[in-house]
Amino acid sequence: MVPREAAAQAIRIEAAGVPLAEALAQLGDRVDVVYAGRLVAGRVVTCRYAGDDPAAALACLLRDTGLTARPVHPGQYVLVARPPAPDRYGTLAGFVVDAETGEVLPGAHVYLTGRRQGTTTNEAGYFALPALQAGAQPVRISYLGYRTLDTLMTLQAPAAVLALHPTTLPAEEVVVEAGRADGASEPAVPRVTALAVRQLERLPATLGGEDLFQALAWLPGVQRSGEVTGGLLVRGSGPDQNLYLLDGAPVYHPWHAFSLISTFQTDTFKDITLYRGAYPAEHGGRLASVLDAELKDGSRAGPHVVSAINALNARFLMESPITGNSSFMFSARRSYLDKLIGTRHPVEDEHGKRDTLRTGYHFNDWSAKVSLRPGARSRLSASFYTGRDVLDLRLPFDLSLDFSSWLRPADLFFEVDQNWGNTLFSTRYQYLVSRRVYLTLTAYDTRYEAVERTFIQPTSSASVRSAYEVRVRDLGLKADVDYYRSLAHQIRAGVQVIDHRFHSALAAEVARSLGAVDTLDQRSNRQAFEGVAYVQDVWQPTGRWRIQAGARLSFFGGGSYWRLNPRLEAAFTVVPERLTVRATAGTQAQFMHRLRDRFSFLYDLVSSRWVPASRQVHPSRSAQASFGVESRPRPWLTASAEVYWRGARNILLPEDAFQTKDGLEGPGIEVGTLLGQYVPGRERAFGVELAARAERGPWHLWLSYAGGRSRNRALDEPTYRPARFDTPRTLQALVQREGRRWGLSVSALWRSGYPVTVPVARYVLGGPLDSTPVSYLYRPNLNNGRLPPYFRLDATVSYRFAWVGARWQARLHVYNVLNRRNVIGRFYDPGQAVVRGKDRHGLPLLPLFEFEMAL
Amino acid sequence: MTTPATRIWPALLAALLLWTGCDTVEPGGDTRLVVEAFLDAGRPAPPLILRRTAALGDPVADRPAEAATVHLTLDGVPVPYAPDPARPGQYVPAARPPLVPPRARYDLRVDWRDQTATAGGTVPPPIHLDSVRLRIPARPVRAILLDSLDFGLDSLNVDVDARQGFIYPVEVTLWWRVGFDEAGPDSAYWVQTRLRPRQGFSSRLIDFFLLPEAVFRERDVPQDGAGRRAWTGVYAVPVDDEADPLPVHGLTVALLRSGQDYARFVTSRDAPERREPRSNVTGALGIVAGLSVDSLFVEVTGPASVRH
Repeated sequence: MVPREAAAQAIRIEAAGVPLAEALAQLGDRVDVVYAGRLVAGRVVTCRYAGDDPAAALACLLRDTGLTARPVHPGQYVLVARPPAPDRYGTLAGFVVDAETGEVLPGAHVYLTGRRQGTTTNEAGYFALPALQAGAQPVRISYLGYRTLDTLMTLQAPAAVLALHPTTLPAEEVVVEAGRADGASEPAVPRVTALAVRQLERLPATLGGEDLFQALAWLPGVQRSGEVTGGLLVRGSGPDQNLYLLDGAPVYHPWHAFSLISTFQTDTFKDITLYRGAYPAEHGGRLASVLDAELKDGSRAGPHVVSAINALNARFLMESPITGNSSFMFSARRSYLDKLIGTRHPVEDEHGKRDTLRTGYHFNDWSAKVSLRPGARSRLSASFYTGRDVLDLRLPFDLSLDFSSWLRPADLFFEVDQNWGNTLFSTRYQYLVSRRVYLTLTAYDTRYEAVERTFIQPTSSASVRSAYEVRVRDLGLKADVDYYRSLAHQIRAGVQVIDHRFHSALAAEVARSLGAVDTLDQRSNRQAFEGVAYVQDVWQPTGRWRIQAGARLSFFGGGSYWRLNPRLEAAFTVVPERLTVRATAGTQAQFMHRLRDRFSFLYDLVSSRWVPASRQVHPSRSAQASFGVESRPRPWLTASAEVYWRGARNILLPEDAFQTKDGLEGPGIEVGTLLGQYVPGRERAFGVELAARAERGPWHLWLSYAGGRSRNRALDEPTYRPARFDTPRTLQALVQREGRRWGLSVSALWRSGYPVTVPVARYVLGGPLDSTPVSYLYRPNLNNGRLPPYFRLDATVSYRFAWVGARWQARLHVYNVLNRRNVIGRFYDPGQAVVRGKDRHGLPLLPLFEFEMAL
Repeated sequence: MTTPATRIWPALLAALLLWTGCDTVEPGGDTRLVVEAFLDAGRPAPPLILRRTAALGDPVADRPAEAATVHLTLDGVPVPYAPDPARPGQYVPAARPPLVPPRARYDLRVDWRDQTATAGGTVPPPIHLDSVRLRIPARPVRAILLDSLDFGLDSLNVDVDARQGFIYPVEVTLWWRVGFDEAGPDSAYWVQTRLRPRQGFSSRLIDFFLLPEAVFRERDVPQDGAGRRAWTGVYAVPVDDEADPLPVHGLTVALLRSGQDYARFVTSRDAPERREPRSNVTGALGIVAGLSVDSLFVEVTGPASVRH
């Protein structure tokens, strides 16, 4: 028998066939128990418990003994024979939190081991299991990245606080306790990809450091569109078909550094969930996926500080309790290359002429959250995030690596002043109306703004000056209610109203000569109201079945569109804790399209421009279905397989796929003009995803394979063609070893090359004003070829040490260890005597570093 | 225990793995016919040029399409065409060529091997240059001459080849009149303008900013008080030194009116490395357009105004 206290506030018991008297004697340090010897004589107990509730610990020890502990004073109990239990029912309720920081854990699985039924915690970490008979109930709580907790809960106790310990602590700090390192295969897991932040932090980012989207690309079916840049593509979707939520508020442009890294800084989050396929009815508005990220509330245990610097940026995070019932989190991140090379460069030539060249670029993020718990039943939080990219250049045209040739006053130059970013404020109030009803109110104000200013002086007499701005602003209010009707039915319903506002404006002057000056002054404003109501029910008719059915009704004011989207998910546990099969189906609607002008260099260079549905353009719709199997043949091994199909219509495809920006003035920024560059189309994708994850001791192995096809066509096209990022096969592997001090990680990515349009013939053609005809290449079919397969091997070595009272970690990340020059583009020149493709290659080997310090 | 379901699912999964992994490259098409025909209002029916596509490995891209039959009708009247024996791939009117009537409906059909190409449209009204004015600065200006710029974040390819020099930016304004009521089909014309000095000079950057050529919808250009429309473009004449005078050179000013098919063709043909021009021919490649062209050749000798 090993009853012991692992921490000051915790009671942990692991007893198997131990005499009750012996168990009680060792428990006496913490709990004063009085009893008659005859009551305990000859009784043997088996119990596993971890928690901070002495009554629950005693209940565990006394289970099946016919005894009960009756409190007589605080901390003092007397053992008596258990009276006959009244026929009474109640609700088992509690909050699941991180044992180290006190952060609530949304999405944790709470499972009644005796009945094989359970639930998951909501955003506040709250759960309720109603209609249970009185008495202690064995409960298992698990959460990805945390050790599973087996405990006993009683109906009499108030809403309990159950603390889970993370599993990814450095080896010397791991506390071995009851339970086991858990994976995802509990029977009540909703069909989502929920990765614990602590696990995401371990996944190597493409260019080192930490980046949520790069970590998500490790999931099968999720990829970046470019080699190191580009949006997220989920199951063959377009990058604008994903909804990114930060504390319930949408983020319209979640990218920094021209989509090199995301605005989502992994270690600022307490919970990250990626919904793919037929996601729950509470989410909607995009066709392919929803990423729901929750900022940390701030540590309730004590101050915690992390700072780090890597090749791309430096970051800082601080969290701390403020008072006994409040806490805060603050984080900042900034790139620093501009600090190294400078942003303003005064120059002077031999004639005394002076100028100031500018080479400024940086990005930054600031996020903060304050959480208050004014009472045991309520919780209030306010979140703020702002992130911007700022590009400020004044340079001559003749750039080269010979700086002395152009670091001088320039008569002919270009200036670029661009900045873009998101700002959001979200506040959330959560209130436990009763043990069965939980109310969540969310209000948010989110904005995406981009400004593009340009001045170009290519000759002494010609110039271009332009100022372009884009703004999207959402004001939203949302109310969600969780109603724990019974053990079999957990109902969630909600309403949401959103005021969308879209603005863009252009002012430009194009002076081609003194007498040929064009001016542009255009403005576009749109507004749309969106209303949503949804209801969903998690129905568990038996311990093996879990059916989540829901419907989402949306109204969009632009065009007065009503859309009803049903969602269904059914899971069946074939072998408890070993094998689960799932099927999902659902439809989605998207009321906004992200478009970009395809002609002009004066606008839409870095801006994301969203166009709401209207009479001119219909909302996109999609339907998805999937079937999957999850298995855990060994406690350390998790494997899954899933097949899916998705179809979408009313997506917008370029009217002329070959058109790229090649002019100055373009057709203008009017929404109707922009829509004229696109045509409605259809899209369909199907595929299979296989994944296996093993964690044993210091070793961590991750394997995934995604096979799928994604095709689309304009409505007037007879057949489907491969989508731009159609990737038939993707294979990823990751091997990690986390030692006490040293860590090693090797990752490999192999995937099919992206489609490319290959010419099949050449011809010449003249014009009425031409003296000689021009050679062209005949490209009858879009995306009729494919680039060579892409392969890359990355490696990371890390070293942990303690110094001056802090924990340090030095990390060296080597990108493309094999220095393989992957082909990322292929072009054809009709001027060649014999036309052959000319390849564009990806990044070579790049060593990148990171230092992290934690207090 | 093995059930039918447990036997079927692995097989289905394996089949799906193979299916999703399948990837084919669509084969190239057969040799295609390329048609080039421009029917100029008020001018004799033009020669038609028929070519065929060549293989990518063929060092000769300009391959004639011989032994074709051409059927052209103007306002329903057939115009017989025959191959020009002296110029393979060219087809000329078999008899004295008739004039192409303005606003005439034309229909063209070409049969070559097993391919049939058809195209049709309307010839626009004639267009005439009313006036042309040149403005030439007294001194050349400094200009950046950028020939190529290729920068991509996904690669480390940075290729900037820029140099500075001097140019005379010659500003040319041309006027034309619209002698018809712009209603119905006559409201949808497009205009192409072009300034082409005899001594060719090309710089991507200079052409990009100075605008020696433009294509625009005709009715989008406001009329002046005299009922004329005007367009101003600028072309560059390079000189070696800041003190050099403007070289004497010839300039061709062209003004063209046509329909939307031609506008789509001409605006999509200036980036052959990236794309091919949009065709309005069914069953073949190329362009068949009714149009009207007026042009003026000017001997530019120095700061002066030229009127036509």
